[in-house]
Amino acid sequence: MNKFKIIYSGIGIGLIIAASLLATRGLPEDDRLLYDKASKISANTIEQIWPGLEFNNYPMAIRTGNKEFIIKNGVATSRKPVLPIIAATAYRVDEEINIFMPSIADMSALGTMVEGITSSQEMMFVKGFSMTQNSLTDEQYIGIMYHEALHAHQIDYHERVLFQNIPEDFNEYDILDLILTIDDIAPLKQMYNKELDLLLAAVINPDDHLDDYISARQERTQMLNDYFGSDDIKKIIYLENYYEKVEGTARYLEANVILTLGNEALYDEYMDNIQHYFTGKEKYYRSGMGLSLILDKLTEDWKSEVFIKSESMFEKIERYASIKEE
Amino acid sequence: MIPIIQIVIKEKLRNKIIYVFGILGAILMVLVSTGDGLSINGIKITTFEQRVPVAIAMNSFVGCLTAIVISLQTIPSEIERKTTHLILSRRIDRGKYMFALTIGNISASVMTMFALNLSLIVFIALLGRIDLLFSVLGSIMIMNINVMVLSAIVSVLSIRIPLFLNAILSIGIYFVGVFHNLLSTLSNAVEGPSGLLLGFILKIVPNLSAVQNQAAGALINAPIDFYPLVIQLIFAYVAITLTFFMFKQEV
Repeated sequence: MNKFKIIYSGIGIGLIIAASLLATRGLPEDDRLLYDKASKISANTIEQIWPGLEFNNYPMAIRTGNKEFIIKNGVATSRKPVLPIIAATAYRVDEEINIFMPSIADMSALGTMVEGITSSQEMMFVKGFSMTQNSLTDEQYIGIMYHEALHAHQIDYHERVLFQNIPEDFNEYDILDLILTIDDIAPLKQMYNKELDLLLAAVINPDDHLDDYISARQERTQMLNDYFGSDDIKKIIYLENYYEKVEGTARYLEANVILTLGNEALYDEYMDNIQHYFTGKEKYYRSGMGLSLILDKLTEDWKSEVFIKSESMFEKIERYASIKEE
Repeated sequence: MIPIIQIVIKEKLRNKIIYVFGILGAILMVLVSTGDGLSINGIKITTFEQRVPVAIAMNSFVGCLTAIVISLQTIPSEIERKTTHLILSRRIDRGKYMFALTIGNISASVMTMFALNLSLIVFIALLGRIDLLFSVLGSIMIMNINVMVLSAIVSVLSIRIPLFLNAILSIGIYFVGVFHNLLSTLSNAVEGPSGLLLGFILKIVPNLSAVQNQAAGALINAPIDFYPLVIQLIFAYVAITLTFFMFKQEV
Protein backbone atom coordinates (compact mmCIF):
# COMPACT_ATOMS: atom_id res chain seq x y z
CA MET A 1 0.00 0.00 0.00
CA ASN A 2 1.64 3.28 -1.01
CA LYS A 3 2.59 6.10 1.30
CA PHE A 4 -0.23 8.41 0.21
CA LYS A 5 -2.93 5.83 1.00
CA ILE A 6 -1.40 5.11 4.39
CA ILE A 7 -1.27 8.80 5.33
CA TYR A 8 -4.74 9.53 3.94
CA SER A 9 -6.33 6.56 5.71
CA GLY A 10 -4.49 7.53 8.89
CA ILE A 11 -6.04 10.99 8.75
CA GLY A 12 -9.51 9.48 8.43
CA ILE A 13 -8.98 7.06 11.29
CA GLY A 14 -7.53 9.86 13.40
CA LEU A 15 -10.60 12.01 12.81
CA ILE A 16 -12.96 9.17 13.77
CA ILE A 17 -11.00 8.42 16.94
CA ALA A 18 -10.97 12.12 17.83
CA ALA A 19 -14.74 12.33 17.32
CA SER A 20 -15.31 9.25 19.52
CA LEU A 21 -13.13 10.63 22.30
CA LEU A 22 -14.65 14.12 22.19
CA ALA A 23 -18.30 13.04 21.92
CA THR A 24 -20.39 14.20 24.87
CA ARG A 25 -22.24 11.32 26.33
CA GLY A 26 -23.84 12.95 29.29
CA LEU A 27 -25.82 16.10 29.90
CA PRO A 28 -24.00 19.05 28.23
CA GLU A 29 -21.95 20.97 30.77
CA ASP A 30 -23.66 24.30 30.06
CA ASP A 31 -27.06 22.85 30.90
CA ARG A 32 -25.76 21.12 34.00
CA LEU A 33 -24.22 24.36 35.28
CA LEU A 34 -27.47 26.22 34.68
CA TYR A 35 -29.50 23.61 36.53
CA ASP A 36 -27.06 23.70 39.45
CA LYS A 37 -27.28 27.49 39.55
CA ALA A 38 -31.09 27.31 39.51
CA SER A 39 -31.27 24.70 42.25
CA LYS A 40 -28.88 26.66 44.46
CA ILE A 41 -31.06 29.78 44.65
CA SER A 42 -31.83 29.79 48.33
CA ALA A 43 -35.10 28.30 49.47
CA ASN A 44 -35.70 31.45 51.55
CA THR A 45 -35.39 33.64 48.48
CA ILE A 46 -37.87 31.56 46.52
CA GLU A 47 -40.20 31.37 49.53
CA GLN A 48 -40.35 35.16 49.48
CA ILE A 49 -41.16 35.23 45.77
CA TRP A 50 -43.61 32.33 45.81
CA PRO A 51 -44.37 30.64 49.17
CA GLY A 52 -44.63 26.89 49.00
CA LEU A 53 -42.73 26.43 45.74
CA GLU A 54 -40.10 23.71 46.11
CA PHE A 55 -38.03 23.73 42.95
CA ASN A 56 -35.81 20.80 43.91
CA ASN A 57 -38.79 18.52 44.57
CA TYR A 58 -39.46 18.10 40.86
CA PRO A 59 -37.18 16.05 38.58
CA MET A 60 -35.94 18.19 35.68
CA ALA A 61 -35.87 16.64 32.22
CA ILE A 62 -33.54 18.52 29.88
CA ARG A 63 -33.82 17.65 26.23
CA THR A 64 -31.01 18.23 23.79
CA GLY A 65 -31.80 17.15 20.25
CA ASN A 66 -33.07 13.59 20.44
CA LYS A 67 -31.63 12.90 23.87
CA GLU A 68 -33.22 13.58 27.22
CA PHE A 69 -31.52 13.73 30.60
CA ILE A 70 -33.50 13.51 33.81
CA ILE A 71 -31.97 15.18 36.88
CA LYS A 72 -33.28 13.77 40.12
CA ASN A 73 -31.70 14.37 43.52
CA GLY A 74 -28.78 16.01 41.73
CA VAL A 75 -28.00 12.99 39.54
CA ALA A 76 -28.45 13.16 35.75
CA THR A 77 -29.32 10.01 33.80
CA SER A 78 -30.35 9.65 30.20
CA ARG A 79 -33.72 8.30 29.14
CA LYS A 80 -35.77 8.04 26.00
CA PRO A 81 -37.56 11.38 25.40
CA VAL A 82 -41.00 11.26 26.97
CA LEU A 83 -42.66 13.98 24.92
CA PRO A 84 -42.90 13.63 21.15
CA ILE A 85 -41.57 17.15 20.62
CA ILE A 86 -39.16 19.49 22.32
CA ALA A 87 -41.07 21.73 24.74
CA ALA A 88 -40.84 23.69 27.99
CA THR A 89 -43.62 22.41 30.22
CA ALA A 90 -44.53 20.37 33.28
CA TYR A 91 -46.07 16.93 32.94
CA ARG A 92 -46.83 13.90 35.03
CA VAL A 93 -44.59 10.91 34.23
CA ASP A 94 -45.22 7.68 36.15
CA GLU A 95 -47.15 9.57 38.82
CA GLU A 96 -44.27 12.01 39.30
CA ILE A 97 -44.46 15.56 38.00
CA ASN A 98 -41.44 16.36 35.83
CA ILE A 99 -40.32 19.75 34.62
CA PHE A 100 -39.39 19.57 30.94
CA MET A 101 -36.88 22.03 29.50
CA PRO A 102 -35.10 22.23 26.15
CA SER A 103 -31.32 22.66 26.49
CA ILE A 104 -30.20 26.29 26.43
CA ALA A 105 -28.99 25.87 22.84
CA ASP A 106 -32.38 24.55 21.75
CA MET A 107 -34.20 27.15 23.83
CA SER A 108 -32.19 29.93 22.17
CA ALA A 109 -33.04 28.51 18.77
CA LEU A 110 -36.74 28.32 19.68
CA GLY A 111 -36.58 31.90 20.93
CA THR A 112 -34.97 33.07 17.70
CA MET A 113 -37.63 31.27 15.66
CA VAL A 114 -40.48 32.70 17.76
CA GLU A 115 -38.96 36.15 17.32
CA GLY A 116 -38.89 35.56 13.59
CA ILE A 117 -42.52 34.44 13.56
CA THR A 118 -43.93 37.09 15.91
CA SER A 119 -41.87 40.17 15.21
CA SER A 120 -38.75 40.34 13.08
CA GLN A 121 -37.94 37.94 10.27
CA GLU A 122 -35.00 40.19 9.41
CA MET A 123 -33.47 39.75 12.88
CA MET A 124 -33.94 35.98 12.66
CA PHE A 125 -32.12 36.02 9.33
CA VAL A 126 -29.31 38.26 10.57
CA LYS A 127 -28.88 36.13 13.70
CA GLY A 128 -28.51 33.08 11.48
CA PHE A 129 -25.43 34.60 9.89
CA SER A 130 -24.01 36.12 13.06
CA MET A 131 -21.24 34.33 14.83
CA THR A 132 -23.35 33.23 17.72
CA GLN A 133 -27.02 32.36 17.72
CA ASN A 134 -27.53 32.25 21.50
CA SER A 135 -30.21 34.79 22.19
CA LEU A 136 -30.99 33.63 25.70
CA THR A 137 -29.17 34.81 28.79
CA ASP A 138 -28.46 32.41 31.64
CA GLU A 139 -30.79 34.42 33.87
CA GLN A 140 -33.69 34.13 31.44
CA TYR A 141 -33.15 30.39 31.04
CA ILE A 142 -33.18 29.89 34.81
CA GLY A 143 -36.22 32.15 35.01
CA ILE A 144 -38.00 29.89 32.54
CA MET A 145 -37.01 26.85 34.62
CA TYR A 146 -38.80 28.44 37.56
CA HIS A 147 -41.74 29.37 35.32
CA GLU A 148 -42.20 25.70 34.51
CA ALA A 149 -41.57 24.77 38.15
CA LEU A 150 -44.58 26.88 39.11
CA HIS A 151 -46.65 24.92 36.58
CA ALA A 152 -45.40 21.75 38.25
CA HIS A 153 -46.51 23.23 41.60
CA GLN A 154 -49.91 24.13 40.09
CA ILE A 155 -50.39 20.54 38.89
CA ASP A 156 -49.11 19.14 42.18
CA TYR A 157 -51.36 21.13 44.53
CA HIS A 158 -54.12 22.76 42.47
CA GLU A 159 -54.83 20.48 39.56
CA ARG A 160 -58.51 20.09 40.28
CA VAL A 161 -59.29 23.78 40.59
CA LEU A 162 -57.04 24.97 37.78
CA PHE A 163 -57.17 22.22 35.19
CA GLN A 164 -60.06 19.89 35.84
CA ASN A 165 -62.92 22.35 36.27
CA ILE A 166 -62.92 23.37 32.64
CA PRO A 167 -66.50 23.63 31.19
CA GLU A 168 -67.67 20.60 29.24
CA ASP A 169 -67.99 22.05 25.76
CA PHE A 170 -64.85 24.13 26.09
CA ASN A 171 -62.32 23.79 23.25
CA GLU A 172 -59.16 25.80 23.91
CA TYR A 173 -58.02 25.86 20.28
CA ASP A 174 -61.38 27.13 18.99
CA ILE A 175 -61.37 29.92 21.56
CA LEU A 176 -57.76 30.74 20.73
CA ASP A 177 -58.82 31.15 17.10
CA LEU A 178 -61.53 33.57 18.29
CA ILE A 179 -59.00 35.49 20.35
CA LEU A 180 -56.76 35.74 17.30
CA THR A 181 -59.57 37.50 15.42
CA ILE A 182 -59.40 40.27 18.04
CA ASP A 183 -56.04 41.19 16.53
CA ASP A 184 -57.88 42.15 13.33
CA ILE A 185 -60.62 44.23 14.97
CA ALA A 186 -59.12 47.71 15.09
CA PRO A 187 -61.44 49.38 17.68
CA LEU A 188 -61.11 46.40 20.03
CA LYS A 189 -57.35 46.29 19.62
CA GLN A 190 -57.24 50.00 20.41
CA MET A 191 -59.17 49.37 23.63
CA TYR A 192 -56.71 46.61 24.57
CA ASN A 193 -53.81 48.99 23.94
CA LYS A 194 -55.38 51.63 26.22
CA GLU A 195 -56.06 48.99 28.86
CA LEU A 196 -52.47 47.69 28.75
CA ASP A 197 -51.00 51.19 29.04
CA LEU A 198 -53.14 51.75 32.14
CA LEU A 199 -52.17 48.32 33.48
CA LEU A 200 -48.48 49.24 33.49
CA ALA A 201 -49.32 52.62 35.00
CA ALA A 202 -51.32 50.85 37.74
CA VAL A 203 -48.42 48.47 38.40
CA ILE A 204 -46.12 51.45 38.94
CA ASN A 205 -48.63 53.58 40.82
CA PRO A 206 -51.82 51.76 41.82
CA ASP A 207 -53.04 54.66 43.99
CA ASP A 208 -53.34 56.94 40.97
CA HIS A 209 -54.14 54.54 38.13
CA LEU A 210 -55.79 51.37 39.41
CA ASP A 211 -59.34 52.69 39.11
CA ASP A 212 -58.64 53.87 35.55
CA TYR A 213 -57.30 50.43 34.66
CA ILE A 214 -60.31 48.69 36.15
CA SER A 215 -62.67 50.98 34.21
CA ALA A 216 -60.77 50.47 30.96
CA ARG A 217 -60.88 46.72 31.33
CA GLN A 218 -64.59 46.74 32.13
CA GLU A 219 -65.20 48.93 29.09
CA ARG A 220 -63.16 46.64 26.85
CA THR A 221 -65.01 43.58 28.12
CA GLN A 222 -68.30 45.34 27.41
CA MET A 223 -67.11 46.14 23.90
CA LEU A 224 -66.72 42.42 23.16
CA ASN A 225 -70.54 42.36 22.91
CA ASP A 226 -70.29 44.39 19.71
CA TYR A 227 -68.32 41.64 17.98
CA PHE A 228 -69.07 38.30 19.62
CA GLY A 229 -72.10 36.36 20.88
CA SER A 230 -72.64 35.93 24.63
CA ASP A 231 -71.50 32.28 24.64
CA ASP A 232 -68.30 33.14 22.84
CA ILE A 233 -67.67 36.08 25.18
CA LYS A 234 -67.98 33.82 28.24
CA LYS A 235 -65.42 31.46 26.74
CA ILE A 236 -63.05 34.29 25.76
CA ILE A 237 -63.22 35.77 29.27
CA TYR A 238 -62.74 32.30 30.76
CA LEU A 239 -59.61 31.72 28.69
CA GLU A 240 -58.26 35.22 29.40
CA ASN A 241 -58.65 34.65 33.12
CA TYR A 242 -57.21 31.15 32.84
CA TYR A 243 -54.05 32.34 31.08
CA GLU A 244 -53.62 35.27 33.43
CA LYS A 245 -53.86 32.99 36.45
CA VAL A 246 -51.89 29.99 35.21
CA GLU A 247 -49.35 31.63 32.90
CA GLY A 248 -49.31 35.21 34.20
CA THR A 249 -48.27 34.11 37.68
CA ALA A 250 -45.56 31.90 36.16
CA ARG A 251 -44.26 34.84 34.15
CA TYR A 252 -44.30 36.97 37.31
CA LEU A 253 -42.16 34.33 39.05
CA GLU A 254 -39.86 34.12 35.99
CA ALA A 255 -39.29 37.90 36.05
CA ASN A 256 -38.63 37.95 39.78
CA VAL A 257 -36.10 35.13 39.51
CA ILE A 258 -34.35 37.11 36.75
CA LEU A 259 -34.23 40.10 39.09
CA THR A 260 -32.93 37.94 41.94
CA LEU A 261 -30.11 36.76 39.68
CA GLY A 262 -29.14 40.39 39.05
CA ASN A 263 -30.27 41.01 35.48
CA GLU A 264 -32.13 44.27 36.05
CA ALA A 265 -32.09 45.25 32.39
CA LEU A 266 -33.94 42.08 31.42
CA TYR A 267 -36.39 42.53 34.31
CA ASP A 268 -37.11 46.04 33.05
CA GLU A 269 -37.81 44.54 29.61
CA TYR A 270 -40.35 42.17 31.17
CA MET A 271 -41.97 45.12 32.93
CA ASP A 272 -42.07 47.19 29.77
CA ASN A 273 -43.66 44.31 27.84
CA ILE A 274 -46.72 44.51 30.09
CA GLN A 275 -47.95 47.50 28.09
CA HIS A 276 -47.24 46.03 24.65
CA TYR A 277 -49.93 44.32 22.61
CA PHE A 278 -48.94 40.79 21.71
CA THR A 279 -50.91 38.60 19.35
CA GLY A 280 -53.15 35.81 20.55
CA LYS A 281 -52.75 34.52 24.08
CA GLU A 282 -49.29 36.04 24.64
CA LYS A 283 -50.82 39.30 25.87
CA TYR A 284 -52.54 37.50 28.77
CA TYR A 285 -49.21 36.08 29.97
CA ARG A 286 -48.02 39.67 30.34
CA SER A 287 -51.25 41.11 31.71
CA GLY A 288 -51.26 38.28 34.23
CA MET A 289 -47.79 39.33 35.35
CA GLY A 290 -49.07 42.90 35.65
CA LEU A 291 -52.04 41.78 37.77
CA SER A 292 -49.66 39.79 40.00
CA LEU A 293 -47.53 42.89 40.58
CA ILE A 294 -50.62 44.95 41.43
CA LEU A 295 -51.78 42.29 43.89
CA ASP A 296 -48.34 42.44 45.52
CA LYS A 297 -49.12 46.05 46.41
CA LEU A 298 -52.71 45.43 47.53
CA THR A 299 -52.34 42.42 49.77
CA GLU A 300 -49.61 40.22 51.21
CA ASP A 301 -51.27 36.82 51.04
CA TRP A 302 -52.81 36.71 47.56
CA LYS A 303 -50.48 33.93 46.50
CA SER A 304 -51.81 31.54 49.12
CA GLU A 305 -55.34 31.77 47.72
CA VAL A 306 -54.99 32.60 44.01
CA PHE A 307 -54.96 28.96 42.90
CA ILE A 308 -57.45 27.79 45.53
CA LYS A 309 -60.30 30.12 44.72
CA SER A 310 -61.99 30.10 41.36
CA GLU A 311 -62.25 33.93 41.22
CA SER A 312 -60.05 35.41 38.52
CA MET A 313 -57.11 37.69 39.29
CA PHE A 314 -58.98 40.67 37.89
CA GLU A 315 -62.01 39.90 40.09
CA LYS A 316 -59.64 39.70 43.05
CA ILE A 317 -58.22 43.13 42.20
CA GLU A 318 -61.74 44.58 41.77
CA ARG A 319 -62.64 43.16 45.20
CA TYR A 320 -59.56 44.58 46.94
CA ALA A 321 -59.97 47.93 45.17
CA SER A 322 -63.59 48.23 46.35
CA ILE A 323 -62.60 47.26 49.92
CA LYS A 324 -59.95 49.97 49.83
CA GLU A 325 -62.49 52.56 48.67
CA GLU A 326 -64.79 51.69 51.56
CA MET B 1 -0.48 15.49 -7.20
CA ILE B 2 1.28 18.46 -5.58
CA PRO B 3 1.95 20.08 -8.98
CA ILE B 4 -1.76 19.77 -9.89
CA ILE B 5 -2.74 21.42 -6.61
CA GLN B 6 -0.24 24.20 -7.28
CA ILE B 7 -1.62 24.70 -10.78
CA VAL B 8 -5.16 25.17 -9.42
CA ILE B 9 -3.91 27.77 -6.94
CA LYS B 10 -1.84 29.57 -9.55
CA GLU B 11 -4.88 29.60 -11.86
CA LYS B 12 -6.91 31.36 -9.17
CA LEU B 13 -4.07 33.80 -8.53
CA ARG B 14 -3.82 34.47 -12.23
CA ASN B 15 -7.54 35.22 -12.26
CA LYS B 16 -6.70 37.71 -9.52
CA ILE B 17 -9.65 36.44 -7.53
CA ILE B 18 -7.64 36.32 -4.34
CA TYR B 19 -6.45 39.91 -4.82
CA VAL B 20 -10.01 41.06 -5.52
CA PHE B 21 -11.18 39.58 -2.28
CA GLY B 22 -8.27 41.07 -0.41
CA ILE B 23 -9.44 44.49 -1.56
CA LEU B 24 -13.06 43.60 -0.78
CA GLY B 25 -12.02 42.60 2.72
CA ALA B 26 -10.31 45.97 3.15
CA ILE B 27 -13.45 47.80 2.01
CA LEU B 28 -15.64 45.75 4.38
CA MET B 29 -13.15 46.47 7.17
CA VAL B 30 -13.33 50.21 6.54
CA LEU B 31 -17.13 50.08 6.47
CA VAL B 32 -17.37 48.12 9.70
CA SER B 33 -14.72 49.95 11.66
CA THR B 34 -15.64 53.54 10.85
CA GLY B 35 -18.71 55.64 11.32
CA ASP B 36 -21.50 55.52 13.86
CA GLY B 37 -24.11 53.88 11.71
CA LEU B 38 -23.61 50.29 12.80
CA SER B 39 -26.22 48.92 15.14
CA ILE B 40 -27.60 45.51 15.91
CA ASN B 41 -31.07 45.05 17.39
CA GLY B 42 -31.27 48.77 18.02
CA ILE B 43 -28.06 48.83 20.01
CA LYS B 44 -25.23 50.92 18.56
CA ILE B 45 -21.96 49.15 17.98
CA THR B 46 -19.24 51.56 18.95
CA THR B 47 -16.15 49.90 20.40
CA PHE B 48 -13.58 48.07 18.32
CA GLU B 49 -14.15 44.85 20.29
CA GLN B 50 -17.82 44.97 19.33
CA ARG B 51 -17.00 45.50 15.67
CA VAL B 52 -14.57 42.59 15.38
CA PRO B 53 -17.20 39.81 15.48
CA VAL B 54 -19.29 41.76 12.97
CA ALA B 55 -16.28 42.02 10.64
CA ILE B 56 -15.49 38.31 10.98
CA ALA B 57 -19.13 37.34 10.44
CA MET B 58 -19.31 39.46 7.27
CA ASN B 59 -16.01 38.12 6.00
CA SER B 60 -17.13 34.58 6.74
CA PHE B 61 -20.35 35.11 4.78
CA VAL B 62 -18.42 36.48 1.80
CA GLY B 63 -15.67 33.87 2.21
CA CYS B 64 -18.10 30.93 2.19
CA LEU B 65 -19.95 32.18 -0.87
CA THR B 66 -16.59 32.74 -2.56
CA ALA B 67 -15.51 29.18 -1.74
CA ILE B 68 -18.63 28.01 -3.56
CA VAL B 69 -17.87 30.23 -6.57
CA ILE B 70 -14.20 29.21 -6.70
CA SER B 71 -14.99 25.51 -6.43
CA LEU B 72 -17.95 25.38 -8.81
CA GLN B 73 -16.05 25.71 -12.04
CA THR B 74 -12.60 24.22 -11.56
CA ILE B 75 -13.36 20.60 -12.37
CA PRO B 76 -16.05 21.23 -15.04
CA SER B 77 -13.64 23.67 -16.78
CA GLU B 78 -10.89 21.04 -16.81
CA ILE B 79 -13.28 18.49 -18.30
CA GLU B 80 -14.65 20.97 -20.84
CA ARG B 81 -11.18 22.05 -21.96
CA LYS B 82 -10.32 18.37 -22.34
CA THR B 83 -7.14 18.90 -20.30
CA THR B 84 -8.21 15.83 -18.34
CA HIS B 85 -7.35 13.74 -21.42
CA LEU B 86 -3.82 15.10 -21.38
CA ILE B 87 -3.44 14.21 -17.71
CA LEU B 88 -5.08 10.81 -17.82
CA SER B 89 -3.24 9.71 -20.95
CA ARG B 90 -0.04 10.07 -18.88
CA ARG B 91 -1.40 7.24 -16.69
CA ILE B 92 -2.03 9.54 -13.78
CA ASP B 93 -4.67 7.95 -11.56
CA ARG B 94 -7.97 9.71 -12.34
CA GLY B 95 -9.17 9.51 -8.75
CA LYS B 96 -6.00 11.20 -7.54
CA TYR B 97 -6.39 13.82 -10.27
CA MET B 98 -9.88 14.74 -9.09
CA PHE B 99 -8.59 14.65 -5.51
CA ALA B 100 -5.78 17.07 -6.38
CA LEU B 101 -8.18 19.48 -8.10
CA THR B 102 -10.40 19.39 -5.02
CA ILE B 103 -7.49 20.06 -2.66
CA GLY B 104 -6.50 22.91 -4.98
CA ASN B 105 -10.00 24.37 -4.65
CA ILE B 106 -9.91 24.06 -0.89
CA SER B 107 -6.46 25.67 -0.69
CA ALA B 108 -7.52 28.55 -2.93
CA SER B 109 -10.70 29.07 -0.89
CA VAL B 110 -8.78 29.14 2.38
CA MET B 111 -6.26 31.59 0.92
CA THR B 112 -9.13 33.81 -0.21
CA MET B 113 -10.62 33.72 3.29
CA PHE B 114 -7.28 34.84 4.73
CA ALA B 115 -7.06 37.56 2.07
CA LEU B 116 -10.50 38.79 3.14
CA ASN B 117 -9.46 38.91 6.76
CA LEU B 118 -5.96 40.29 6.17
CA SER B 119 -7.15 43.87 6.57
CA LEU B 120 -8.71 43.03 9.92
CA ILE B 121 -5.50 41.38 11.14
CA VAL B 122 -3.37 44.33 9.91
CA PHE B 123 -5.77 46.76 11.54
CA ILE B 124 -5.52 44.97 14.87
CA ALA B 125 -1.73 44.89 14.67
CA LEU B 126 -1.54 48.59 13.76
CA LEU B 127 -3.81 49.49 16.68
CA GLY B 128 -1.44 47.57 18.92
CA ARG B 129 -4.24 45.30 20.08
CA ILE B 130 -2.05 42.22 20.35
CA ASP B 131 -4.44 40.98 23.04
CA LEU B 132 -7.07 40.55 20.33
CA LEU B 133 -4.76 39.25 17.64
CA PHE B 134 -4.48 35.63 18.77
CA SER B 135 -8.16 35.22 19.50
CA VAL B 136 -9.07 36.76 16.11
CA LEU B 137 -6.59 34.47 14.32
CA GLY B 138 -8.02 31.48 16.18
CA SER B 139 -11.54 32.50 15.21
CA ILE B 140 -10.61 32.92 11.54
CA MET B 141 -8.89 29.52 11.51
CA ILE B 142 -12.00 27.89 12.94
CA MET B 143 -14.21 29.65 10.39
CA ASN B 144 -11.97 28.24 7.67
CA ILE B 145 -13.37 24.81 8.51
CA ASN B 146 -16.68 25.94 6.99
CA VAL B 147 -14.82 27.16 3.91
CA MET B 148 -13.04 23.81 3.57
CA VAL B 149 -16.25 21.80 3.98
CA LEU B 150 -18.17 23.88 1.44
CA SER B 151 -15.33 23.83 -1.06
CA ALA B 152 -14.99 20.05 -0.74
CA ILE B 153 -18.71 19.41 -1.17
CA VAL B 154 -19.06 21.78 -4.13
CA SER B 155 -15.97 20.28 -5.79
CA VAL B 156 -17.19 16.69 -5.51
CA LEU B 157 -20.67 17.61 -6.71
CA SER B 158 -19.18 19.50 -9.68
CA ILE B 159 -17.80 16.22 -11.02
CA ARG B 160 -21.27 14.92 -11.75
CA ILE B 161 -23.85 17.68 -11.47
CA PRO B 162 -24.37 20.44 -14.07
CA LEU B 163 -23.00 23.83 -13.04
CA PHE B 164 -26.30 25.65 -12.60
CA LEU B 165 -27.86 22.90 -10.52
CA ASN B 166 -24.70 22.58 -8.44
CA ALA B 167 -24.74 26.32 -7.75
CA ILE B 168 -28.32 26.20 -6.48
CA LEU B 169 -27.70 23.07 -4.45
CA SER B 170 -24.53 24.51 -2.94
CA ILE B 171 -26.21 27.76 -1.91
CA GLY B 172 -29.01 25.66 -0.41
CA ILE B 173 -26.50 23.54 1.53
CA TYR B 174 -24.80 26.72 2.79
CA PHE B 175 -28.04 28.27 4.05
CA VAL B 176 -29.25 25.05 5.67
CA GLY B 177 -25.78 24.65 7.22
CA VAL B 178 -25.80 28.16 8.66
CA PHE B 179 -29.29 27.65 10.12
CA HIS B 180 -28.53 24.07 11.12
CA ASN B 181 -28.95 24.54 14.88
CA LEU B 182 -32.22 26.45 14.42
CA LEU B 183 -33.56 23.85 11.99
CA SER B 184 -32.45 20.99 14.21
CA THR B 185 -34.48 22.42 17.09
CA LEU B 186 -37.39 22.94 14.70
CA SER B 187 -37.22 19.30 13.57
CA ASN B 188 -37.56 18.27 17.23
CA ALA B 189 -40.41 20.70 17.77
CA VAL B 190 -42.65 19.36 14.99
CA GLU B 191 -44.20 15.95 14.72
CA GLY B 192 -44.88 13.90 11.64
CA PRO B 193 -43.26 13.51 8.20
CA SER B 194 -42.03 17.13 8.00
CA GLY B 195 -40.04 16.72 11.21
CA LEU B 196 -38.60 13.42 9.97
CA LEU B 197 -37.72 14.86 6.55
CA LEU B 198 -36.06 17.89 8.10
CA GLY B 199 -34.16 15.63 10.49
CA PHE B 200 -32.90 13.53 7.59
CA ILE B 201 -31.78 16.59 5.60
CA LEU B 202 -29.94 17.92 8.61
CA LYS B 203 -28.06 14.65 9.01
CA ILE B 204 -26.55 14.96 5.52
CA VAL B 205 -25.86 18.72 5.59
CA PRO B 206 -22.82 19.95 7.55
CA ASN B 207 -23.51 21.97 10.69
CA LEU B 208 -21.87 25.26 9.76
CA SER B 209 -23.59 27.04 12.65
CA ALA B 210 -21.81 24.85 15.19
CA VAL B 211 -18.47 25.96 13.74
CA GLN B 212 -19.58 29.61 13.85
CA ASN B 213 -20.47 29.22 17.52
CA GLN B 214 -17.02 27.88 18.33
CA ALA B 215 -15.40 30.68 16.32
CA ALA B 216 -17.41 33.14 18.41
CA GLY B 217 -16.17 31.38 21.53
CA ALA B 218 -12.57 31.66 20.33
CA LEU B 219 -13.02 35.44 20.01
CA ILE B 220 -13.88 35.79 23.67
CA ASN B 221 -11.29 33.18 24.76
CA ALA B 222 -14.05 30.80 25.87
CA PRO B 223 -13.24 27.07 26.00
CA ILE B 224 -13.57 25.50 22.56
CA ASP B 225 -15.71 22.43 22.07
CA PHE B 226 -13.69 20.56 19.43
CA TYR B 227 -16.30 17.89 18.80
CA PRO B 228 -18.41 19.85 16.24
CA LEU B 229 -15.19 20.99 14.52
CA VAL B 230 -13.99 17.40 14.16
CA ILE B 231 -17.40 16.34 12.82
CA GLN B 232 -17.25 19.01 10.11
CA LEU B 233 -13.70 17.94 9.24
CA ILE B 234 -15.06 14.40 8.84
CA PHE B 235 -17.71 15.83 6.47
CA ALA B 236 -14.91 17.42 4.44
CA TYR B 237 -12.89 14.19 4.56
CA VAL B 238 -15.83 12.14 3.28
CA ALA B 239 -16.49 14.63 0.47
CA ILE B 240 -12.83 14.66 -0.54
CA THR B 241 -12.72 10.83 -0.44
CA LEU B 242 -15.69 10.68 -2.83
CA THR B 243 -13.58 12.45 -5.46
CA PHE B 244 -11.64 9.20 -5.86
CA PHE B 245 -14.79 7.40 -6.98
CA MET B 246 -17.04 9.91 -8.70
CA PHE B 247 -15.15 10.39 -11.94
CA LYS B 248 -17.28 10.64 -15.08
CA GLN B 249 -16.83 7.52 -17.18
CA GLU B 250 -17.52 9.24 -20.46
CA VAL B 251 -14.59 11.68 -20.13
